Amino acid sequence: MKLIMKLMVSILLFAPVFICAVQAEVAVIVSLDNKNTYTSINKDLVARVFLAKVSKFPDGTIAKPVNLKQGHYLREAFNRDFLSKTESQLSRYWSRLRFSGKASLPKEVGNIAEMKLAVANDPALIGYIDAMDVDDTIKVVHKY
Amino acid sequence: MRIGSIIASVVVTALITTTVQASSGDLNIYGFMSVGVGILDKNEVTIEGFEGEGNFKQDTLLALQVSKQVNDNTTATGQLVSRGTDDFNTEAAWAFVTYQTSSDLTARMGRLRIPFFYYSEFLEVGYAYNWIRLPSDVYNIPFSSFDGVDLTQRFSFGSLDNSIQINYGRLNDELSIFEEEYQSDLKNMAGISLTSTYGDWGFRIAGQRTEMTLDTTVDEAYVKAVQVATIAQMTHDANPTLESGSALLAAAGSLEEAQIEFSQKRRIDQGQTGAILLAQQMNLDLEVEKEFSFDGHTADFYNAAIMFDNGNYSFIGEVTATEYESGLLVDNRAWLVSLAKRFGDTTTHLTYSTSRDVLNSGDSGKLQEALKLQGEDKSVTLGLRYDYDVNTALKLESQYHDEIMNRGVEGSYAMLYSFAIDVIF
Repeated sequence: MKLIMKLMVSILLFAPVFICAVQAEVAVIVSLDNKNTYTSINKDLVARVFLAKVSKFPDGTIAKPVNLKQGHYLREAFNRDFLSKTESQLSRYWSRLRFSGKASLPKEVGNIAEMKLAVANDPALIGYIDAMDVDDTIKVVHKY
Repeated sequence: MRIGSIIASVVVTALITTTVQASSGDLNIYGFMSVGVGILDKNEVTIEGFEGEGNFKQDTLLALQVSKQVNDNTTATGQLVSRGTDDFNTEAAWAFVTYQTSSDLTARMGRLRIPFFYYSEFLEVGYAYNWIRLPSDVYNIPFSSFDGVDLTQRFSFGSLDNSIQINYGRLNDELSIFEEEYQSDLKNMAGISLTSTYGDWGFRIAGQRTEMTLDTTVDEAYVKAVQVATIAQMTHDANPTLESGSALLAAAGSLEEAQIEFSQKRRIDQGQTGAILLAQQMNLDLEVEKEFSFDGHTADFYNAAIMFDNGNYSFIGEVTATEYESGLLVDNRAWLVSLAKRFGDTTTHLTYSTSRDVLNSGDSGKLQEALKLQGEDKSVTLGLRYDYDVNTALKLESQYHDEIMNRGVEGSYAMLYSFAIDVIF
């Protein structure tokens, strides 16, 4: 009986975290100065920019992806929802590009606040934050 | 005055410190490492460089890559590789400067990898693929780097992303062919490749040409000894006298000596020498000195590949064709197909690869056959890759390798069991 209680408590304790991680809504963001519109940047293009297959926005300006650091819950959500790849698969994908001198890893930031600041100040950058953290310093181009 | 100089030195120090900090901030050091062991179930054959007993060196290597952003458009990159197969001597596989224009055009200059086939530019990065090592039926070209330039232009049609890469350069280096060293000069190395990706799909076609000069030589002493002995034999057979008998004995003696010398020559030197002798014996209509040598003879490498990867299933099919102008290396056709299925952190994969030498037509091919140059191989590889963490993979593999034909005669088969750890950092 006691054991069951403990189990239930621990399930209750961990459940919200778990649900939160699963439900995190990812908002892909660019600078307010970025002229590209919500309709022009689709999910497919976001993935191609983050996989270094494309290096330009639809309007022809340079697009540089910014990642959250490895292990961040939102990076995992982004990898899954936008890139359909696990962190290991991405690591393998990038090892091919990096060790053949074709591309270097996207720039990384430590947290969502840094992400917003970096993207707000550079129209070339494209990043992602939790949809709950969206404010008027940045522009959302895609949500999933 | 003194205070002035102190201030000046402080300012200078501060400036230097800032510069150092700024540059170390742009300097990236990373790398990859593979540690492996393999055991072959037979002692009398060598497969993938492995012989009967456990071998820890064959699949073991360490590479360090350093890159420094010089400015917004320019990056300098170097990659040093230290291989177990080369007694851990360190070699620069890459050393180049990249210039990136704003129009998706990238130019690189320096020491680069030759983009022969799909995996060629990262052929040693074990972490980057499922296998412990690339299938040697397809990946067996004895050189992989060159010194020169390459240009890559990227362009897209809708969601179809493409890149065209052209390269030009030269390689002046020692090559290891059939496990023997040859000084080589590979001039006018030029190639083009087109790689496209569309969603989970990828495609590649490529061609590469170079003009090969190797330091191979004809063993003139042996050719002479054989000729003298043949004439002595004929003379003696036609009209046996005491004189002709002793001449034949002497000729046989020098031939025996020459034979010992000849047997110590490198395999291609022997082939080049043998070609001249056999062409005479077989009475072939052939410019043998010109055709069976390496003096600017072209070598062409062609490749087509198709890739698919949806995260759970992946597939690659790759075909290659190699054409040598010199008769001393036999034209080759090779292909591989590999299927992989991922279960969480574990990936299982199954690969079939095969390589077949194709003799030239006419007398040239007859001579190649007489020289026992051709080979044919096939392999089936079953393996497991476990991604321990995002930078580490553990791999287990068993490979059935059948040398259907080796040096013109029926070969042997063996099982190779191997284990490896691949790390990137």
